[in-house]
Amino acid sequence: MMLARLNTLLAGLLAAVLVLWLLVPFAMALLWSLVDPGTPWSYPDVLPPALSFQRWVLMWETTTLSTAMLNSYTLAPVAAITAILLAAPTAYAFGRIDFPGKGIAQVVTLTPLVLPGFVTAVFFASILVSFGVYSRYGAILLGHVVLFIPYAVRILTVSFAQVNQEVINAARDLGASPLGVFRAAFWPVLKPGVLASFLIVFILSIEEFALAFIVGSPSFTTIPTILFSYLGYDFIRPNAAVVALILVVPNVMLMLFLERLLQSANPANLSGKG
Amino acid sequence: MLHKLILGTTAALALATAAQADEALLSMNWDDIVAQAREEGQVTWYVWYFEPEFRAIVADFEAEYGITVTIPDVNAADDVLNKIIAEQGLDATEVDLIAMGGATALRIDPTELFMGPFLPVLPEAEARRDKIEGGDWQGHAVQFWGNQTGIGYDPDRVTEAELPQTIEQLEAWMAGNPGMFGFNFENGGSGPSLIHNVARNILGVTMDSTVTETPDLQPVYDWFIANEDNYVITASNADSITRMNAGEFSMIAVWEDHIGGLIRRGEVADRFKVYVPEFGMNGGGNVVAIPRNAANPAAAMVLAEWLSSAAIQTRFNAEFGTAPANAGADASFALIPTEDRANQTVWGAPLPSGDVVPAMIENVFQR
Repeated sequence: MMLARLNTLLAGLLAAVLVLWLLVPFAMALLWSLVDPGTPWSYPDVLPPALSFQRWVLMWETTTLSTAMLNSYTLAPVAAITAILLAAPTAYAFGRIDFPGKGIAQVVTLTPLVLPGFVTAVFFASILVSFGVYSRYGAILLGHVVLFIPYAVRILTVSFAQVNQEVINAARDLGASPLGVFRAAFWPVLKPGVLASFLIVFILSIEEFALAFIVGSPSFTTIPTILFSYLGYDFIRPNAAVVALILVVPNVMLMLFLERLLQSANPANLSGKG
Repeated sequence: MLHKLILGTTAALALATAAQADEALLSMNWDDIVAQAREEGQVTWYVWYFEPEFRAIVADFEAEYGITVTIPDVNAADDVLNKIIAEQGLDATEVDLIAMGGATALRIDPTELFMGPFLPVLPEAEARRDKIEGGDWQGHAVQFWGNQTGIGYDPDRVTEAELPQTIEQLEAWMAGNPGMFGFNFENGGSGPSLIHNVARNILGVTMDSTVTETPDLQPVYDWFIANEDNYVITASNADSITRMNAGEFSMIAVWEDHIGGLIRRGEVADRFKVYVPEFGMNGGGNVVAIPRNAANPAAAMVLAEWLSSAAIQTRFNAEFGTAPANAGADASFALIPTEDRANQTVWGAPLPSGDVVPAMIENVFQR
């Protein structure tokens, strides 16, 4: 009885925290986005003096937001898949093979993470120019893959290490082809790691600004290019609210979708039991 | 600081692949330059603020010259500078014209990155400027924007008689109104201007002093630490204005043109005012320059001339409250009272702000 009451109390407390932490800021952002242009919401007004959707229309029509969203949401999944495919062999080696210098090799793969973003972007862009890589999409894709491969390597290394050798042996003993062994022994364990890698590289690619700006501007704009300009010197809260709300919706939907996929991990594959 | 050091070092060491075409362009007469500009037909101008407003303004340039102007969205001028450095190896960069703060010339060598000197080629060149905020652009850039930092205030909450004019009055006002004064130390120059001038006054350095070595800043540190419960550090120029508009502050450090532009756009209350106290606030401006490998250098030069012309400078004064960057322009519409402009100080001298502000950040705000 006491326990049930405590659970109810804690659940209510958690709900209150979530409302304050998530719902109130979103509601404020929505309210700010509806402030009518030309009628500022200033102290001491408690509520905006005039509301309209005019700002939403203005922002959609006068910025390159739609193009930026298309560019970012086509670039990010390709960068994520490419990074996973390129990281997989390295992750397999780190996860399942012992070899001299393995520790050093693992540290070396983290090198792209060490330098500040703009420093990397400037010199990476110079290298691409010297190699004659002028395609903006290709250059940014290459840059994102190089920058974010360490994340995929680290995550997939753990996944590969968790693949149960007994399951592999059993599959082989039962006559499975290499592809069959992969599907039976590797994939169920790798799946959460692959999805996690995809999610992380996708998000990092979506929010990467330095390389996308230096290589892409002005013809290939991405979401951060737009977002940073509206959150920078020219920060106007209502405009920033519109841009932020437009951008948060697809990201939240994607997170929910991938969260469902991540929940399909089967612990029995790890323990070999069940 | 590290970022600026890397930026400056990279700029200094970067291989300069100067386009040969700019030498021919600089030797042409103005009419021929305009003709070449029309042939080029387009120009991409990178400016980090008021992009929507500038897009509307340059429509008149487009109509007059038949040259299409593209103004991309930008976060900061340093981002564009990084892009120019990165694309030095290209035959032609897409950055035709870049706007920067006047003091940027103190961090880079303008002759390495930018075409010129082109200022002497412009019509009525003597009315235009290339020395701003202690930086000398040696003709490789021209000032197109004049700005002044000051203290913005809400006259509904602070009367004119209460406005602090001296450091002591500022200290007393903050003590009597704790948490109502905000300024930034990064992401904008308004707060650093306040810090610089408070430091200068505490150290007893006047505008006609000669400073060969930066004095011990401990008294300045002590002043800011002693008063740290009474002021609020904001995230940026824009954050200060946003929070005064929301009622959190009664007074802020501010750029006159920044708040003037927002007032005219109807984004903040139109009752806000700005003044320059007797203890001084820095003024300066922004310049436009043409990368050496710009794809459309003639069009960029014509746009630079148009932006710095007396007519457009008068228009900027009327629409944004800027201090005109052309001697022939009208300065009647500024936000700051004319008599306050006598209190203008500069960034670089006699006490270099580059010696003061970083030390303040390290020893006071981020200690």
